[in-house]
Amino acid sequence: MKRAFGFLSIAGTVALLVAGSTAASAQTPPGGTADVRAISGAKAYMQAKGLTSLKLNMMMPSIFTAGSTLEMTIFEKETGIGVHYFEVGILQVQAKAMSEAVAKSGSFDFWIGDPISLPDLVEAGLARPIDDLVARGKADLDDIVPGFQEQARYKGKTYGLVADGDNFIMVIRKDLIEAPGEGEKFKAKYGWEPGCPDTYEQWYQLAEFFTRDPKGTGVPELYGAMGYRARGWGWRWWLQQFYAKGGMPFDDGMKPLIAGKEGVEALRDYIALTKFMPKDILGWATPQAYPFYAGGNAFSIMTYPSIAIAAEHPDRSKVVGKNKYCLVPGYVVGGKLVRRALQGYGNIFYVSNYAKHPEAAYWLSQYMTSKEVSARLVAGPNTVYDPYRKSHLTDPRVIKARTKEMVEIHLKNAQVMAPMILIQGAVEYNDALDLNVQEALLGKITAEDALKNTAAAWEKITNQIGRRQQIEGWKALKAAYPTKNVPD
Amino acid sequence: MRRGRRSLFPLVRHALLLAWTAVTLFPIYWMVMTSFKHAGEWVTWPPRWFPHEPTLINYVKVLTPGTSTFELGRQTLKILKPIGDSLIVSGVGSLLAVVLGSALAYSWARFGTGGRNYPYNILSIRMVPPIVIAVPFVVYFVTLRLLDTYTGLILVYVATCLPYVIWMMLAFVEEVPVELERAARLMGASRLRVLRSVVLPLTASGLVVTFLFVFILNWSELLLAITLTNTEVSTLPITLNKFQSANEGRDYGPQAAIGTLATLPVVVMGFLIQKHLLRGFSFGLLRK
Amino acid sequence: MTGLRRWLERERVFRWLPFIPVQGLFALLLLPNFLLLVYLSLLSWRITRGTWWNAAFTGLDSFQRALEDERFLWALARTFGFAAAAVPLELLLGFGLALLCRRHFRGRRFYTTVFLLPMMIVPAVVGYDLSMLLIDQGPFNQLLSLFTGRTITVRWLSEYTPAQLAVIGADVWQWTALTFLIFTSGLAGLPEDPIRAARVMGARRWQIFWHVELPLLKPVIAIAVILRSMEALKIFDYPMLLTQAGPGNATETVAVYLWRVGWEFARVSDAAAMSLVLLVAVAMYSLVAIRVLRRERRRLAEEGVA
Repeated sequence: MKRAFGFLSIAGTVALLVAGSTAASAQTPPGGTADVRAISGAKAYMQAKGLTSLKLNMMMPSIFTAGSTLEMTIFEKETGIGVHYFEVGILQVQAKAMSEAVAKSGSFDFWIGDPISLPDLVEAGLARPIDDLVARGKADLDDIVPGFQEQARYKGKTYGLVADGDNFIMVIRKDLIEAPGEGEKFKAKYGWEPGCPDTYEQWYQLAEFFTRDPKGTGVPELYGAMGYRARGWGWRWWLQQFYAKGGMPFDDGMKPLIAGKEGVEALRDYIALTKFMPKDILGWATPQAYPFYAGGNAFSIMTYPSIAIAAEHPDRSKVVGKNKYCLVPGYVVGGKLVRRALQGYGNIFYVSNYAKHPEAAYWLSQYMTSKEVSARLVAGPNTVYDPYRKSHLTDPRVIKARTKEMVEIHLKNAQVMAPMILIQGAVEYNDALDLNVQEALLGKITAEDALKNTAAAWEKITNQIGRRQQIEGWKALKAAYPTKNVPD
Repeated sequence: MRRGRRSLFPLVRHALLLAWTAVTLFPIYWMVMTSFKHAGEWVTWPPRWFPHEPTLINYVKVLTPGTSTFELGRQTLKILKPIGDSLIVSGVGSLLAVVLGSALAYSWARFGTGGRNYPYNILSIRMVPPIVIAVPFVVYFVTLRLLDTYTGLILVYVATCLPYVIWMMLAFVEEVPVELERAARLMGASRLRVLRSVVLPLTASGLVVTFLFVFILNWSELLLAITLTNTEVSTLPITLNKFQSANEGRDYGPQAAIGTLATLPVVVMGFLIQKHLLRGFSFGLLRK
Repeated sequence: MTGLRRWLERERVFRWLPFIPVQGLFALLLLPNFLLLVYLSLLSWRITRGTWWNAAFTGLDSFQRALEDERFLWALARTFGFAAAAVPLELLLGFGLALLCRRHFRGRRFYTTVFLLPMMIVPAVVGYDLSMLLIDQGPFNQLLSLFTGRTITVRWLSEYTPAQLAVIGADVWQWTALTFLIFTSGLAGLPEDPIRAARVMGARRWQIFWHVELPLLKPVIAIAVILRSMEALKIFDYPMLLTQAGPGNATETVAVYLWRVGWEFARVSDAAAMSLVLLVAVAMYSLVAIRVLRRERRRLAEEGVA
């Protein structure tokens, strides 16, 4: 009896210990803020695995290295978990991720990607759901402006941590408007005081007025407008205009609606505005567009919010302090103004299902997206991370780097932020759209035909993937669309 | 009259040749010049044909260890590892291919190994566009644990350039008179001795030419390299490709430095063996 | 002789020794891939639809889709079009330059050195180098302006036809060096007797060229055509690097499109089926070329040199 009791008590103690240790490892790591919790979680992981140093493998889009590597080194110093990253061109992240989904080789533990690829990569089995880790680590998801985090979810599960709020912003040169005589001349011609445009028509007028070719060389010295028109990018700028017209890409049965009146008109406006842009804009993306605007060559630009860093850079910008940050313009629909800002990219930390150290990768991601570290990243001098947290609005570092006005406007724009088409096969849908939009831009086909072709291509894609699946996905995505017409 | 015509032709010839020289050298010249320019001089209107303030900073940026640096809108990738990886993969791959391919060429020429149509069948491998095999290759290599390894890429390169090696070496081997070999055998030399003392010296320049040719091919190869590597192996074309989407920085100076450095070893090699190159490319389709 | 050497000396071993590793390489590396490719093309598999070994067999569906895919057919046509434009140019230029450099003259060494340079440059370098040169405010347009006296600002990389010309131009710039090389070798290797005989019989220079030298060069021309066209059909580097297959799909070659379909759209089976269609197209062309080559070689072997 005594022996049995002794045995039971030993067994019981062992059981308690085991339960206790697993419970301990499933508990939230200590720390008042998400980044501290991430560090302690990481340290606990290392201890549990008996390691003193670890190198995670990461796939990183090239333009992120500058901003990110410093913070990762700090994390490594604290926890011993470092990163061995390989760079990929940003438009090749999808191809590489797909290749890994096939290879299942575990060649990277985590990566930074966009929301477009999420549905496909989940279906391909690459993206790991992280709800469990998010609950443990208590990542500050509440602080994120709603809408952003939605895009890191798919079919009810969370797959990534948002690191970047990429809804478009409109920037104009207030010094050019305030130059003597300009305001009056403009008002005389168009009938309103020049300033932030409310509608695309107003933007067109501003662009027309401010395209200056005084010597008549055919090459303007000042371009009225800038946006992206390059292959792989241009479609996003059209999509934003389409949304502002009240358009939706699909109806509830996944029938494409883009070839209707709204789509064609939006495309015509899109093409018309291009004539005030530099001729080479069809080959430009961020690395060409930003220095061009910051060099004072254009009156206005509609682009990613990181333009603020370039435009306000003390050393490299010629237009420091001359910029006015505006709400995105819209269209008047049914008597009411509708503004829409497209979340034109938006980088997310994803963890791979084939990662060798998924938990460690998660802790690093939580660290990088915590309130404190993300503020540092967003305010960094070479960064492409943009504000996405309410706390960024009041963080002095962010304000200093980007100006208070910009951060306010940016987060206001986020209130009317609409997502890109984030369903399975997204890359293919977007590519069909992009191709036709560019062909229309080049004048090879009419706007109507471009959208009709796109709609036909979209139907084919939907049928190939499976209409029922797509209807489900689209229904779920609709929740991410804004309900307001204009920001408060 | 005849004298007039004779003196006109050299001038015309020089004019035409100089024209193509200008076309050839223009991009190369521009690249080398850009590599010595600082950022302010890269894109100017009118373009600067000579740097007003030459600098070595691009080379410094590119050669210091690390993976990359990023200044606003501009990405600078480092080149030491890619050059090293390219040298390993192309060098070993080409060497292996030349050794195996020449031996096989000799074997076919002298013994008909593989059948009468073997070289033609082999050449048909070369007509397969690499994209065709890229996708299944990933699956296959993962199973064999060869993805993202030097061995894997080397094996692929050997397989893809063997057809050229065999064809080129065939021509050179056929130039070696069989009688010489037979005579040597009659005098008691072993086959290996014949190879070493008769065939090898006579095909030496052919070997060199073939090696250089496939080395260039492998050094420049992009598609298979991108598909089959991730972190461990990163060849030069992959690094250059990272520059090149509309999304990476137009960091012209360091890019030009990389381009110049990427080209230098091959150009030097080519210059050294130019004489052999010019003789070697008839693939056995002419006989003196 | 040691045992190993004696074993190597046996004819059987000696002749088959190199054959085995080479065939082994092909059998183990290339053959399974090809079989896998065929198998994948008979499914309708996407990377987002589970594993390929569980995917359902759908027979020729992927092929049907491939042949109905306009974008694929256009990419094929475009690729053959590029080759058809680039290769003859390279042949003519290479041949012309080789002819000009044929006899010895002062400075010949300089020219031949220079002409060989483009071949040695990594195509990726050519890609970005040219993109730097071809921007509308770039040095190439400035040169053109100098020559024509007007301000030229052709947007080589952001307009449809100029972009295609730019890609063709890149190929011609780089690979004329190879045709130059082949023809120089060819001209240098021409047998002297027939030429001397013709001259003795009083034939003029151009007659010798047209009736004696050119026919003797036919095999060399064949080889140049085959080599260059086989490679030209694969172009991937220049469109990818110069224009990202744009603007629109002006420069989307079939290699670029297949890359997209397979890796970006994740439609692996479709890519596999299209690959096989491409292979058939290229093979038809190449087999004709190889037959010509074989005929030339046989003729050479039989006729000897007259």
